[in-house]
Amino acid sequence: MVDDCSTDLTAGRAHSAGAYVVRHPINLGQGASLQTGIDFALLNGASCIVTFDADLQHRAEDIPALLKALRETGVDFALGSRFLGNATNIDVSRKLLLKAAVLFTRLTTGLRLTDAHNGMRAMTRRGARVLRIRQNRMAHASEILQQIAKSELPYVEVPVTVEYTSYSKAKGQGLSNSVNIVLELLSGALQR
Amino acid sequence: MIAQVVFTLLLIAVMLAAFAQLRQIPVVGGLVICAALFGAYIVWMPDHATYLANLVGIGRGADLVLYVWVLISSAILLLLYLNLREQLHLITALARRMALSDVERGEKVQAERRNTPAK
Repeated sequence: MVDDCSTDLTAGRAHSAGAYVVRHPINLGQGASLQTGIDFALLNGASCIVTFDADLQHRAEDIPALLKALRETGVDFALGSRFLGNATNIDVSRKLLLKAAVLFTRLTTGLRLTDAHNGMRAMTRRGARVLRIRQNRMAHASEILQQIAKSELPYVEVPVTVEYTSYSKAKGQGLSNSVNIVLELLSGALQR
Repeated sequence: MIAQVVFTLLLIAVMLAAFAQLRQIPVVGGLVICAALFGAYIVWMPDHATYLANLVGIGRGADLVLYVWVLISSAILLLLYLNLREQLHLITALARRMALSDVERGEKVQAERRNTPAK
């Protein structure tokens, strides 16, 4: 588990339960946390890596299906899709925003996905090694898809369940965040 | 003449600063250098500024100079912003290195290991 300077008790409880807890000394953002977790897993010889958001909208029960997809289809990335699976309590506005993200992804990367911003994903060691997330904050989801497209490694979408609660909705991305994401991606494109 | 020399020196300083960033931020660095070169050109050729302004429908040469100056200022701001982002990447790398060098597995696993007799 990557603790990005959270102020709640999650890190302590995860540590007590026996998990490895990697603690950032300063708050860096979700994208940076993902890269830290991936680096830690690679350093410790992981053959497959699964990531998911910590806002309780994903279900650990979906992990076996993602790993099975990696094993049985031989792809390097298994990407969760709430639109192939279930999206419980999703707002119409959020659904439209996610559909717009799917269109944006298709136009900018060429990837044909049904869900472009799903934090539930699994990857092989080979897949993880091509990822180098430089977008520390929320733009990382688009950046990951750009890097997957650029790597030309095979991928598959897997149905997963995303359950929206008032907590996850408060933590999730709104329209203003979407504008920030586009600006961050443009800034990233202007750099090396 | 004095104003022309002062402005030229300022624009040379801008160009040198942009040139130093050219490897990290090539697009914006290049834009700043081009805008500064154009600025130097119209500082020394004010008549051309009026001609060019008329050509693009601005009207007065002085307005064209103002627009170019706004463009240079905006590009410098963008350059600074991108430079800050680059610094953030370095800080991120450092923080990540620190985090990865100090990882301990949870208490439960450590307790289990302590209770497991050595072979």
